[in-house]
Amino acid sequence: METIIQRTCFLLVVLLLPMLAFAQKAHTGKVTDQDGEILIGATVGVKGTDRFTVTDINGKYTLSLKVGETIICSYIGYHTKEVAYRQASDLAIQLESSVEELESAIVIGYGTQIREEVTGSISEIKMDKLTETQVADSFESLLQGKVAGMNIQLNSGEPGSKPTIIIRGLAAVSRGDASAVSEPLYVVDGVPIISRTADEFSITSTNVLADLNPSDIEDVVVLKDASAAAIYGSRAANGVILITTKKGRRGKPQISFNARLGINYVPQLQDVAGGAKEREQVARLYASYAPYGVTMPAMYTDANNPFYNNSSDWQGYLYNTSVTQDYSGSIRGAGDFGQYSISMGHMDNKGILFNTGFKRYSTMASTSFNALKNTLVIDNTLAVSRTDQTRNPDGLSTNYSTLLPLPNQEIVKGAEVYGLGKSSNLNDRIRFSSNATLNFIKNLTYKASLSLEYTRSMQDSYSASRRTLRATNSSGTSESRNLLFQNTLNYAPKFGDGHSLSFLLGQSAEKIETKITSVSSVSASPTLSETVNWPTGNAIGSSNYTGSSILSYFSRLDYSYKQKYMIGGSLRADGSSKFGQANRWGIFPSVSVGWNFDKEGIFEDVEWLESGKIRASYGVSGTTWNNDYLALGIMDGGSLDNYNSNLEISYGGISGYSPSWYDGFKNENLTWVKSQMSNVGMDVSLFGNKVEFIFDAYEKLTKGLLLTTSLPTTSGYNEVYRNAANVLNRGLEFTVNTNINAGTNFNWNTGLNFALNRNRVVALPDGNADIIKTSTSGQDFGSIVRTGTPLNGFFFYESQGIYQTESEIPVNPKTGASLLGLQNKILAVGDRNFKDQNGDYIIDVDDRIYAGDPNPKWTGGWTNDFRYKNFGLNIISTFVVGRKIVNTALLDRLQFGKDFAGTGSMPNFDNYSIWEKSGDVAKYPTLNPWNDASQIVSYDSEYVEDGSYFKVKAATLSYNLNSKMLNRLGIGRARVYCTFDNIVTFQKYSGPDAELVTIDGFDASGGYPMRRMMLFGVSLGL
Amino acid sequence: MRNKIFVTCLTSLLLISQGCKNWLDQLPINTVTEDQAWKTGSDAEGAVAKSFAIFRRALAGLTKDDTPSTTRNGAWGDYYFWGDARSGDWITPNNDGDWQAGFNNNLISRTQLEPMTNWRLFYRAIEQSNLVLENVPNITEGFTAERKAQLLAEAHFMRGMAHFYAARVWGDIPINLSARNVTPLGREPLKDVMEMVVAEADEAIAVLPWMYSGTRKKVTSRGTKGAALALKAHALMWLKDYQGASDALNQIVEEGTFRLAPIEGFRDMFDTGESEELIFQMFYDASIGEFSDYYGHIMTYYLTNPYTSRSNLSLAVPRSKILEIYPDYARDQSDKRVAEFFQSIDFSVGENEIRPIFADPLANGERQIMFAKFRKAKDRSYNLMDGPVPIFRYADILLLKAEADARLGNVNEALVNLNLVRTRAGIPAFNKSDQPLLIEEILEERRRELIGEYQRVYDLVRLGRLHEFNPAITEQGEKDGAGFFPVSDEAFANNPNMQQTYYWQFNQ
Repeated sequence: METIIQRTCFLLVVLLLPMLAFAQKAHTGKVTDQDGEILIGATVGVKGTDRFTVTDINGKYTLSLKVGETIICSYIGYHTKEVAYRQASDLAIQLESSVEELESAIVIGYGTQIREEVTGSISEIKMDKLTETQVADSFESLLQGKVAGMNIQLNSGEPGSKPTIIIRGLAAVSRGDASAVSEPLYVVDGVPIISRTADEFSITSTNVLADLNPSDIEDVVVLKDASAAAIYGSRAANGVILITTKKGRRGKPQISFNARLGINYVPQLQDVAGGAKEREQVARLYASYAPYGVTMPAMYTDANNPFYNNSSDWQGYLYNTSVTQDYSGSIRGAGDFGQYSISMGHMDNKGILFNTGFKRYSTMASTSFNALKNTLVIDNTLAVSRTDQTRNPDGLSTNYSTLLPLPNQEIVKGAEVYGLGKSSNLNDRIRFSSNATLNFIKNLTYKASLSLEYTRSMQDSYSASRRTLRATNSSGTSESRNLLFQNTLNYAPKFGDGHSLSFLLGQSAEKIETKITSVSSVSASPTLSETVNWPTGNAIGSSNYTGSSILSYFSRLDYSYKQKYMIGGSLRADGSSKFGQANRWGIFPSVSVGWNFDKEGIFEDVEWLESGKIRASYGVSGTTWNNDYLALGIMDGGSLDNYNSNLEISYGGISGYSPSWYDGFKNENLTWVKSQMSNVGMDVSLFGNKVEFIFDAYEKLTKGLLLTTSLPTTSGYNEVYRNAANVLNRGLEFTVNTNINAGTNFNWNTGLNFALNRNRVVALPDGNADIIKTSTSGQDFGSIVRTGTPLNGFFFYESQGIYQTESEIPVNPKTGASLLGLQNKILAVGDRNFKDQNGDYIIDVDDRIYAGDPNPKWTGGWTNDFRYKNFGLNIISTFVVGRKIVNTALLDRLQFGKDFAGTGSMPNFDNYSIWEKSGDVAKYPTLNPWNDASQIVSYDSEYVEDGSYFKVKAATLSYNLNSKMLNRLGIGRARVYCTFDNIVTFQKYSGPDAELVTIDGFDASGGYPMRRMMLFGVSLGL
Repeated sequence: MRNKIFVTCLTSLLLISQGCKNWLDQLPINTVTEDQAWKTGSDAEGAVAKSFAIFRRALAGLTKDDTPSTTRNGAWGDYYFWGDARSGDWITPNNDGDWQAGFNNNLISRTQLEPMTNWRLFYRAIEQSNLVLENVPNITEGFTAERKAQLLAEAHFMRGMAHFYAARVWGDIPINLSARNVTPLGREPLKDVMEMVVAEADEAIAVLPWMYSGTRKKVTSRGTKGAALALKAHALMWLKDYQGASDALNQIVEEGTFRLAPIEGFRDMFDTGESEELIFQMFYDASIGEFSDYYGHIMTYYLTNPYTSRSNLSLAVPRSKILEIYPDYARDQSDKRVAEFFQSIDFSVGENEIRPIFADPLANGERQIMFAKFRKAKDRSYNLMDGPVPIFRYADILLLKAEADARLGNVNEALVNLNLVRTRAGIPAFNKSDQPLLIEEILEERRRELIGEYQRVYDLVRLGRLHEFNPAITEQGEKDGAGFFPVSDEAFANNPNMQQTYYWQFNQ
């Protein structure tokens, strides 16, 4: 490549030389950049004449000159320089990079904006520093704690799992589980990408965004308020994340390589009473509660029983230290021809749990070509990636009794002790985008871009039941295609005295199609096959398709006067195929104003004020939903029933359509979910940018969230969707950045951000009726959506302690009957004393209360960056304050049934206050396994805990190697580093990690703990 | 060059704006939307067939697919439960708790029976007919005006039929005659429902032909004039308009399309549904994939080896009851129906072998006689059940007409029709012309002839006499509505106008 460039330049020089042959007196000079690097192809001319030339491959030029003439030298990406020729030394021209000028621009929707003129709430994160020394499955987890108001929670430690990202508060409602998350829109290099798949079309549970190699990302911009995001219209209500990938820079080719190796350590696991302690606890429960004639299993009583002396550490056996490897390399460069960037990456992250892991293979090529004297720029990007997640198909239990022998023991060798099986989850993605930018005339730019994206997920899984030895296979493929065509016209003139205008007009058309095909089988199979190849009749296959399209027209106008007063507005009209003709188009406007008050006369003499801005904005953005055909009224042709009969399909051989009874009928009234957001903010920079302060306050009202209303059975339909729920989020965001230089050798940067968000349900369907979250199969999730309260609050029974005496159990004075417990339990001393809220002497669903808010009130992060000479120390911490969570994982383990002995492991009772006799002040009621109803009720207000935590997420120690020594090796730059990940968590929570809980606040039992990692790496730049 | 680019951009923009016209019309490829569903005659054909298919499923019973609140995986053959189980004639030899609870009218306390109280599928069949009646009139392509009128008449028939069947099961029921009717409908008096059924049947009778071309089974599984007349007559019987009923039934008799099959023809009638006696039946045929599953056809429960792989009887009529119902058989074994309807199996043979059938149908003693009226031998893996489900047949029509005539005092006419059925069964003609005795005998004949055909309980409930035969039901209880099924909880959701049947407000 380089030689081609050199030859091209040389040819140019050779061709141009004869034209200059008439020159009288030739002088030779050299053009370099500020670092002394030669610049090839720079234009050098004499002011006021038509004499000019370009520099050759050695950066040299020859020009006929007279003393007193002015040399003008220009080069793309550098400031043009004028030098008056007086002496020979003047012929060596050093150009200064104008990259700083580029850097002062920030990427916004469909363009860039000068930072000073920004009036919306926008945060930018430079990823280089993060990706160089940290390793992550996906870039999202690296953003944790970086942006005020963007709450990122890693809900699981499983490799390849999806973190939850909520920008400025949750604004999603569902009747079922809490999986309804208000997801932001992800845009990579100006192209919205597929970031998730609708549940019914997703085959793998791998994070869809984990295929983007974080090392390829230059920076991430988060558009938080409506004025910034509304240009993305119907998908912007939950914020927009703009990702810009790395591109080549001018100068010599940048070749970089980064290799790291991480050791994953098993963190604190569940507390287990092992061996003798388990025997003692079982004996205690039998002695206290066993009914007459019930005796302990022999393995607990008979010292000769082969299991009696076991003390198996199941968690220790199944969780093991593992290794993560990550390699990435890239070659990038740029010149007058354009730029190129080629990168490759591979990550292999072995999970700490048996048979789990995540691998990523990625490659990306991005090129730009300048044509027609730089008036036409053509960019092409091709990115291909694959992720490969390995899982245990049915979740692997690590909770067996410690008396059961481990699989490696002689006594059971060869027998499969835990469930067999394997599940491989592949996600592939190909992204191709091509765009042409044309500068018609000065200040007018036209850009057309076409992008194609293809994702494919494949899952092949095999699982066998230990009990029946029956095997289940399933194979599935889900494919998505995304086609996007965008046209934008940008006109940015500057006129008069400090007036500058930026006008954008654009159109985009997008089509997304998804198809799924899956087969599964159940068979008494002795073989281990991951594909489905059973005979006909044993395999059940299905396929499905969905497609949607969006057509959009958008415009933005920004005006700035002397960069002092700014006003801007945007308007977007989105039409979506998801709606009927009548309700197809949604209009999303926004306005914003800004005032750089530091530029006013009164602040002119204020030395310590570097810059100061006050911003305000208001706008409307939207969201839609997954079901592409919901509003159109889907007809149902019926499907084969479980017995392969056509009964639901045809009658007398004639088949026809009926409405899909479940989702109701054609619903032209369904419309966009619209989110109105107002934002005021202030940016202040003090003491020569040493201290930076950013403040934002917002109010976001999300209106018309989709919810079902059930219909009377006489209609024939189950339910119908309506735009029925409104949610309000209000919040404050604070960011403080400092940059302290003590001498030339020491530098200390801090970034502290924290955000307060309050969330409230404003309206619900059916006359604001409470929604008690229940799955379609009737499972109660213990959460409620109620107007006037935060979303997904705990809906629990109110604990009043434990009954210590018989007389404490209330008796109905009218009937003489005692209070009846849950599940019609006859209450006794030692049972939980739940408050009978409605006084009907029966504890049931009607006695539940709102028992806590699982939404975090404060979230934030604190980053410290120290630099001393060649050493660097970087510490990243994140925190959440004021959320309530429940340790359901522990409660599940304390729920003993009458066959508890010898099955599951037990927590060590000494660590918990468990009621045993009258007078015990205990948190947990009696654990009598022979009781007719469960003693431990998960939905008990007693167990609501403080979920606040402060986590030191990562610390990196790095060292930049001496450049003189490197030069001798031909290496430009080298850094060695060591990163500790997931160092320590300070929390009050009784479980292992307060972050590993679901968004509705439950510690999902069987969760995957977050590994601790020690990472060693070398990063080289040639 | 610049011009070229400019032109290229302009043309591509033009092309795009052309393409954009349809850009937002994304339609599913795996199904159709409501706007696409009503275009041609074949759409109308399919939609009407679908209403019959839904009604067929409604009779078989609600499953988990139909409503989230149901726990039942498969249909149970609910038509049997509604129409026979509580008649007092049945026992459960293997002491199945669900059947026993049904016999005892414990319809709420036994949660397994809860789906049977849910009428959702009937209202789906009704809504499908409502949609047909709303949309098909606007379709002009792909069928003749005559066929269009027939399809609309069939929709009227089905709308009436579904209301009629639901009213027999639940008594007072909501009437829904408009599409997408989401207003909370209250229950209407049974009388109003039956009058509405008569009106719907009249719409159908005016248009429907007696026969279509095709096999008897196919023809009689759709709405015909005969089926609509039978529906009208049954509804009029509930309205005690015996003259109207007799007139309607007379039209069927006069037409002569249907006739009593000889006793030898019973197997065709009850095994394949190909019989001149059948007037309206539900279509099942495993050869074209329309079979009911393991549960869906009730014969799964009362058949055993050698017809199915079941080894013991779950439902049966006890020997003493058979002898009581068929006194002629008890006396001289003259009633040929006993051997057609009952069989005794040699249970001493191991269950893996084909068990022989004894020559004496009642050889097996009190509790082990198999009810074998529907006994089409199917694959013994239990599924692929495709026995016919008759709704109306000619013997039922003759006996119903006899009852109407008897009540009107036309004793001679009643005797003629009663004796047609008796003669076929090989039992002596009935000659007593005393009106009450005659009516009683006609009812007994209906019991004998239609046993296990989902008619008996409705006959008794119509006459308020269920309590005489079912010891679990009292006379006052029946007056309060014990003969009808309770309304499910689901019907009360979002419907403040819904009321529980009086009896079921106090009884479980």
